[in-house]
Amino acid sequence: MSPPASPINAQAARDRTIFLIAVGFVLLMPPLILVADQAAFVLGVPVFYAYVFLCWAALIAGGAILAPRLSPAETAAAADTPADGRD
Amino acid sequence: MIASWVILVVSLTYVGVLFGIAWWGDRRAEQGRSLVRNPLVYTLSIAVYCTSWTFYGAVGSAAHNGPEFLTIYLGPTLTFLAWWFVLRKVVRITRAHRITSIADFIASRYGKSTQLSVLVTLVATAGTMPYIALQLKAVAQSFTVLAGPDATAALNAPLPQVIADTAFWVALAMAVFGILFGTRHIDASEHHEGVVTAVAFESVIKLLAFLAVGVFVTFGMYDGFGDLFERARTSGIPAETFTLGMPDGPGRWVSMTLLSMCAILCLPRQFQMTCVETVDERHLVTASWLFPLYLLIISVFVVPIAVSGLMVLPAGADADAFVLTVPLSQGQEGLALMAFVGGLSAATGMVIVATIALSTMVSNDLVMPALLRIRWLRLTERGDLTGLLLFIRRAAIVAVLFLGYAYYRATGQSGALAAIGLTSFLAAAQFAPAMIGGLFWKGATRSGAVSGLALGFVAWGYTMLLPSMARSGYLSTEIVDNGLGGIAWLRPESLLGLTTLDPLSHALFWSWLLNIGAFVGVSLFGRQSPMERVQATVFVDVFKRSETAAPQVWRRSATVKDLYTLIQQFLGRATAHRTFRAYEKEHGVSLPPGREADAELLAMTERLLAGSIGGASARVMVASVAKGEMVSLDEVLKILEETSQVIEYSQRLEQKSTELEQTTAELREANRRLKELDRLKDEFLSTISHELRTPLTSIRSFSEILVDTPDLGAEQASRFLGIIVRESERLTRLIDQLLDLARLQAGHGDWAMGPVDLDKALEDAAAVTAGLFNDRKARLVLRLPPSPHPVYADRDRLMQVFVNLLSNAVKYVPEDGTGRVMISALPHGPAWMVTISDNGPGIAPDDRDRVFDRFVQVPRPDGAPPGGTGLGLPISRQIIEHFGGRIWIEDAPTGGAMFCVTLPVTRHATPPQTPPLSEAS
Repeated sequence: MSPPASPINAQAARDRTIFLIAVGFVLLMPPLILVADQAAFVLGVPVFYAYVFLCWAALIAGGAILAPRLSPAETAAAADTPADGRD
Repeated sequence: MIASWVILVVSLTYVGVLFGIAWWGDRRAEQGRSLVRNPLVYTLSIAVYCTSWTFYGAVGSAAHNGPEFLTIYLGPTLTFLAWWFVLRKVVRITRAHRITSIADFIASRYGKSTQLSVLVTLVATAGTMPYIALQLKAVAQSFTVLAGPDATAALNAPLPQVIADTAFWVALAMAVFGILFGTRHIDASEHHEGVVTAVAFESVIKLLAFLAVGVFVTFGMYDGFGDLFERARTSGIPAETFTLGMPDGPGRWVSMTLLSMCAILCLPRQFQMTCVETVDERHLVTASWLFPLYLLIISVFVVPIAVSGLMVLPAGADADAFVLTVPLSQGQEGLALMAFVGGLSAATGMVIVATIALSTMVSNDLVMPALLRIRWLRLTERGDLTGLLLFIRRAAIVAVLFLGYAYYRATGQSGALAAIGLTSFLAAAQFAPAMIGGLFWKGATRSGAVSGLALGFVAWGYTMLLPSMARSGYLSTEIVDNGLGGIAWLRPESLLGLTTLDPLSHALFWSWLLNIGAFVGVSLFGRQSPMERVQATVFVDVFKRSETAAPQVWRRSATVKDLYTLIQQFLGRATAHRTFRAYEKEHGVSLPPGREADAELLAMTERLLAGSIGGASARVMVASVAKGEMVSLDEVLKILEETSQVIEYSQRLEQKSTELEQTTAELREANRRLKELDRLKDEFLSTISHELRTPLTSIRSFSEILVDTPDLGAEQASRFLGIIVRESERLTRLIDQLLDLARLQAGHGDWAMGPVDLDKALEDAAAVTAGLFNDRKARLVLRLPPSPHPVYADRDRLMQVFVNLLSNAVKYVPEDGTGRVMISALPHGPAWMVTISDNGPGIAPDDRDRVFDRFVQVPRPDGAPPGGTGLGLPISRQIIEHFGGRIWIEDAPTGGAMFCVTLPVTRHATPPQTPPLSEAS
């Protein structure tokens, strides 16, 4: 786990997450995705699939980097209490 | 082909392993060494999302419809990217309020409404049935394909007898599994760790099986991706297969992405796994990216399998079976069997979780509320109800599974897997407005949610379900082609003549339009009951309040015994005993049975019950023992207000503490300055004592000589007396100047400020110091502009400064008659600048600031003491600064020092060009 983020860093990470989601939508929705909608191949692979998988992997990587920084301090406090477990 | 008995043995072994793992998971949980307290297991359990639709259907879809199958995975990826804003909130609320299902969630949000929970349960059941049927169909068909005489046989063989139908036995096994591990006992947290463990295991199996087939196809049959697509091109598969179909492609792409974004939140089984079964909210951090990664990995080989199937199998082969038929066509029976097990695990995982989720909803939100309302059953007066509750759940599991089976038998052969899946997704998407709207919008009302959901459901049935049933031959296609009652604008797939959308987007558009429209519209024009209002606040502000801080909406009373009995009825004697002891211990009270229960105990009872029978039923149950009335709206608002006041108060407190910190910092700085001033004062005192002591010492020693030596010569004596007089004068001057400086610094002193003629003052100062210049044979040159120039100052003080500067200057000029001091005055911005320069040795740049300090003296060039007090320049600076001017030192053009003084023209600093006409007095 990465070190706990300060409130300011956590806010920045949240803003970046919103940006990442917006980028995801723009990349994966028409009209931009129609640019990749070509009956052609790149490096032997259909352009459309190459484009989608590339964007997809990048979004996951971005999410993986940002997720632990969003606010470890708060989520840590929300750990399951014994009373809430199995009876 | 593979012998049927081999497949059966493998399937039974697999199911046996599944039972074993579930049993192991439950056992570990009982021992307190839970397996599910692990983000990886949590992520894998969410992967129940990938059903046999993914396993078989995605390949079929990729072969026929191109890349649109990707949207089913991209949607959840986007939703999980936004986990912090939506999913985390849902999970937090679910855990805080012991929500047991999506019906419970939505009903609780809108005032624990039974009406709403019934509606959601009905929609969920109707929406899930086709989906369960789809899984059973996939298992049965994959069995047929594997055991069939011809590997390329179409999947649409006639249905076998029920007793010989694989789907029947699968359904039966799943019912047993669900009953064993989904309803082992009733507990207040509704966690099924055994099931979660088994589902996580299944997610691993289906991933491995699919990857095995994919790797075999891509790298065994072909030489990597490039080779595969190259061969596809040469064997005549058009490149358009890999693009969005036109004209519907883009529209379907958007609709399906939106649908799957909602589905991952709203499908009952996803809600069950992601929210209800969560044991630690922190697992979301990992799942938020690991789950999308799982989806990415499982979809990498979909296209290669689809393409190879199109190449190696005869035209017309069922693409939904490519995962099995492609390995079979290559003689890889072992691999095909492995793929079958993967498909089986995908199907069983979905069926188990969906069935448990639905049975919870059916029992908590449909059957229990109904039974509780039937008075003659006197349920509320019965003893232990846990048995009844378990029975209802088990019956619900059996009913759900066999409804699914019946649906499968009824719809039979029709429909590709993907189409059935989308029908389910659209039904689940009807929950999205009420669920997500209710998370962020406090104004959403129960009536809004009910009408939105009902209208959306009807629209779904008409525009989505009806055409699919007609297409499967279950209904006449008359209604699809010509509209209800032959009215053309009522055609289900082009309502009001809207023909530009593909059928899926069309259904999504109409159902959401009606759903969201009614939800928002009715909410805006309706009113909330106090209960709704409270629940809205509790949900929307879940991060702003502590878990149990739900305001008390009921002013009700019940005895401790009543509540104890109630918990005992639904959760058993042991749980009741333990929770009450825990409550006593935590609150430091004792609870005799006859005592009146306080509001907190009532709230705890309701929360506990909600965990096992749902929020709406729990409210009914508690109300049956706790008589009382609802607090009026005003009071509820007051309670909410008080809560917000507490929040505001704590914010103010925070602000205060920040201010306090600031003040502390300021105080520290002030203290530091005080210490510095104290040090300066000490230094000043020691310097001054030294300065006073020097003349005093010489006065005293010469006086002593005069007293002790009476025979001193007259000449000598007179010389000594002269020294004594000079030193006394110096002492007096020193003290005068010290007093003067002290007065100036304290801001006292009498100032007669007014316009002073600068030329006149300079000439007077020159006249006063003329004697000094004569003594040192030095020349004084005045270079003044011809006309009078008034400045704003005190004349005597200004004279004092000029005299001081002139006498200083003359002290340092050479004594051999070449000494020269020059005074000049010239305009300097809105002020006048006077410079007094000499041709002495000058002042080193380092000393130029220092000489304005007290008691600092620059030695004369000949080494003789300068003979001043060291206070003249500090006094001059005080005076000039009081006038609003400035004094500093520069290099004189003649080689010595040049003192520069600026003086403002008037108090208002008007430019020198327009001097006041009045002359100085």
